[in-house]
Amino acid sequence: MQLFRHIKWFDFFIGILILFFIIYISPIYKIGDFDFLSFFNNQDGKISLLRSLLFTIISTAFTIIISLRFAISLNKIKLHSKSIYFFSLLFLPVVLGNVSIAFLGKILLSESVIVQESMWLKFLSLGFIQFWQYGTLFTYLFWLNLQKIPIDTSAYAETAKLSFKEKARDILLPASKDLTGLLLILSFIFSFYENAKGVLIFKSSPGTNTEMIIQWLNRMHQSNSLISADFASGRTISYGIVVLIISIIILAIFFYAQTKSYYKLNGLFAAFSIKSRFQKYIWLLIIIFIVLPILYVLIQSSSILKIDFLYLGNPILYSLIASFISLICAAFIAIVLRFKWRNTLVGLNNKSMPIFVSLFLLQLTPPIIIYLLGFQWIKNIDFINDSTMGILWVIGHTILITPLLVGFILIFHFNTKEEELIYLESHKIKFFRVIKDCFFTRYKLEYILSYLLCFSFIWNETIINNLLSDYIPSFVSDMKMSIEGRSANSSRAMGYLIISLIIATLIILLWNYILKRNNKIDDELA
Amino acid sequence: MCKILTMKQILIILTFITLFSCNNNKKTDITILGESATSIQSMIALENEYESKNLNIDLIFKPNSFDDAFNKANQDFSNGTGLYDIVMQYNFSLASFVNNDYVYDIDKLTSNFPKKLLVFEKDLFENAWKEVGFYKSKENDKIIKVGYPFTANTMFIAYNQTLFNDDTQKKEYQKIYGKELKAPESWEDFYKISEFFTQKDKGLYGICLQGANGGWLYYEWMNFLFGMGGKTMNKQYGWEGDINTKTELNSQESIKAAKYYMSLKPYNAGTFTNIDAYQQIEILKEGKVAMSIIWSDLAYNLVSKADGSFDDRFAFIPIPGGKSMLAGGSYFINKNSSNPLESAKYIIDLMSKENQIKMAKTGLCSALKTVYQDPEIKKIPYSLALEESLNNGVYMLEAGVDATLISDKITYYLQKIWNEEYSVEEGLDRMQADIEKERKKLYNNLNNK
Repeated sequence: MQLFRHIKWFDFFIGILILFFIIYISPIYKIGDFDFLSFFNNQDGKISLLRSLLFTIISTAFTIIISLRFAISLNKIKLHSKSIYFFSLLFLPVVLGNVSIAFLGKILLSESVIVQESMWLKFLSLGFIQFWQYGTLFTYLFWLNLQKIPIDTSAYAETAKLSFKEKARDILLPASKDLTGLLLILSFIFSFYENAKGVLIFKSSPGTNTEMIIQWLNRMHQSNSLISADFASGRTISYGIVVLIISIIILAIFFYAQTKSYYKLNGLFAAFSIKSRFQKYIWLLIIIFIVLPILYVLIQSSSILKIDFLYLGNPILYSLIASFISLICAAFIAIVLRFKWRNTLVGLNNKSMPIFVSLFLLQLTPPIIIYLLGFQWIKNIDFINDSTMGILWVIGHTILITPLLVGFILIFHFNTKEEELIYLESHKIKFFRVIKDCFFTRYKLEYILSYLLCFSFIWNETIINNLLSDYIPSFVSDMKMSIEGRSANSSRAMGYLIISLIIATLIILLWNYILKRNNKIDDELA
Repeated sequence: MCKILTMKQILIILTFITLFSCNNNKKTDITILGESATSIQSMIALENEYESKNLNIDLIFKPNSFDDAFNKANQDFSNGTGLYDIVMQYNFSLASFVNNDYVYDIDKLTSNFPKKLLVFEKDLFENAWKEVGFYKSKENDKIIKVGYPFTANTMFIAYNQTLFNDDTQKKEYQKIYGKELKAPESWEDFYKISEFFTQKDKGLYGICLQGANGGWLYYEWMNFLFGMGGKTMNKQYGWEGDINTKTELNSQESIKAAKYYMSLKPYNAGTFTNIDAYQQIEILKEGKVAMSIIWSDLAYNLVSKADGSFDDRFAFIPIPGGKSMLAGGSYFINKNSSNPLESAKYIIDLMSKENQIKMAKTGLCSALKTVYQDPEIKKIPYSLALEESLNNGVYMLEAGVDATLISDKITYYLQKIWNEEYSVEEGLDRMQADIEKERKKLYNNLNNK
């Protein structure tokens, strides 16, 4: 393995990863007519950027702190407990997708005069919805991660009768540090570029002091398109690059502040104790929090499910394929990165953070830039038909999601400690055996969960899906057209929501089945 | 022993190959991109009929959301990819499409067509067509025809006649205002009716206004502005104008229109700043609002029922003031289309009276005058109001390169005034100054491009 570390083809594959970003944005040179400084002359742009950053920082901090606190409280519930099947409901909101959640929010909040007439209440509501969508997933991921704490350590904590504060400081917070860093970055991205909910629920606008940066970029693009598409693309990309640079700087500062103050959370957590008897009723609380809003909306609204299901066959198949390819690529790249930068990639800290930010560059890029570059890619293809567009669809999604997946996989790979790898190396264990045991078999559950989440992200994604919707039917595009616009139809939109729920439920049932089988195998082995 | 093919056998094989090729003639695809709305949906309903009459044609429809249709059209034109033969877009795209030479001049394209095919042109509402389908040529500034209208939209009043015909309400109105309760024909009546029907004890409201951004508030307020004698600019068509054409948004008429609009606030149903045209229709359907100014292409959604009958709760009249808005869009033929002539023939077929009547029955706001004389069309509750509005139609909406800029700024300041962040006078002064400043920048960018 000493030899392996120096094999040049690691650099080659890392080059491929960098090329993910560079290849995708390469058509940018054809657009031209950039004017980066004009962003700073636009008052609306600066205000909406500031507004987005403020919302993002507050929402992210709230989401991470609350979800970590809940996960720590739920730590005593183990993977083999019967409650865990209810726990899976925690990621129902995220697999529902942004447009479905925006529709739910629209039904619940659009007629609320109190919310709609107050800028502050709009942002508070949006922050709460963000928590409902992502904070619940984060709670689940934190909890799953805490299950990886060695049994000996947990047993020691019990035997030594460590207080909650001591346990959190010495065991739980250190175990959650890497994941906290990753989820902070992801929450930052999701909140900063939040669009569907703002537009569909609150009709965000500069006049109501609620316009976010992504809405401003879209509005400017439309306005400039009346001059010409090239001019609009040049300006939008200029503004977008400025936004990208500023967002990376703020993210870096935020991340740094988080690492510095991370262990102060201990004091905060200890101040808000959650009684252990709360755990007995956790399944009820999860149902009330997650399921009740959905049930309320379903009961309120009538629907005749007339949607033609058959057209969904192709996009489902393509999503499954793209998810599989992305997972394979991501797992492979994560392992290569780990071995290439073994001294740096031992955890998510200030040293390794630039690697993660580089991985997430495409997600940090304003979605409208990704969308516009997609048109350049279509231009590069000479022969256009449904098949070539299908291939482009799969490639596009793979390029977009794989780096994100790499970051996610790297985090759970950090549970394989460097000391263990050194030990195995010194005992001359074969390289591929090490990879198999330390990076594949050990994380089967995590890979399966990654695949399911990846499928959900691709299915609910709104850039490539919208771009190629003329060739590969897009569920989210069709659903969005049912919610607003000249063909809006609330019955049809409700039908799409029901389909979303069915898909989300199937994903959760599948995950529960896998958990159950995994527990059964563990029990048999024990 | 090798068996060598004889000349006769080779000839037979070649004959079969040729026949096989002849029997598999590829069809000519015509791809149509447009916003998913009643117009494209009614075209889709006629697809089989056209294809059965034109066996070599395959119509491929690509309905999209407004944003996607707009972006895809612009990117396709700019990149020269020729993915769409026909693009259905609104009049604010005229400037970009013509100045950048993206679309055909209709007269040039159809110059060799038999004149009888173009007879329908005389039957179009002239002002409506000029508003959405004409523009200045890039070469010589001459006004040219760029597209035929796929829809002639306007805005008119939809009122709940169940409420208006209620005897108790009628008596009460007569008692308070000393006149008969009927659909408003003046702005004064419009205000009185809004005030009268706001009966919160019964959960009733006089009006439902569209205050959302994305153009909705702007479009609605233009009815009040122009209907009360004001204007955005002094010109005949929305697509006219340049940097020297000044806006007049802080005139006395504008102030009057804005104050009037704000005076309706106590009588307004809904949450205003998140109410768009579609939500307005949903609120009207609940039956608790007396009237609203609605888009004509959503009127079908308001009144049509699944069994083909109409909801008789609602009736329609043009807005007060004697003039109505003209809006809508045209069929534009892509200069990178592989089949421009076939595309033109298809559009001309759609513009026939027979097809326009069929499409009007499923919600299309036809630009053909004689469609509204058809007995079946007359049965549609809003057809008379639509016809009258199109006859009285004038420019109210901007359609130049500064259209979105003006729409956004007007929306911004009106929302601020509604939320009492500015007074009417202050808001309109700022609106005027801001628009002129941004227009100057925009036209500088245009000249430097």
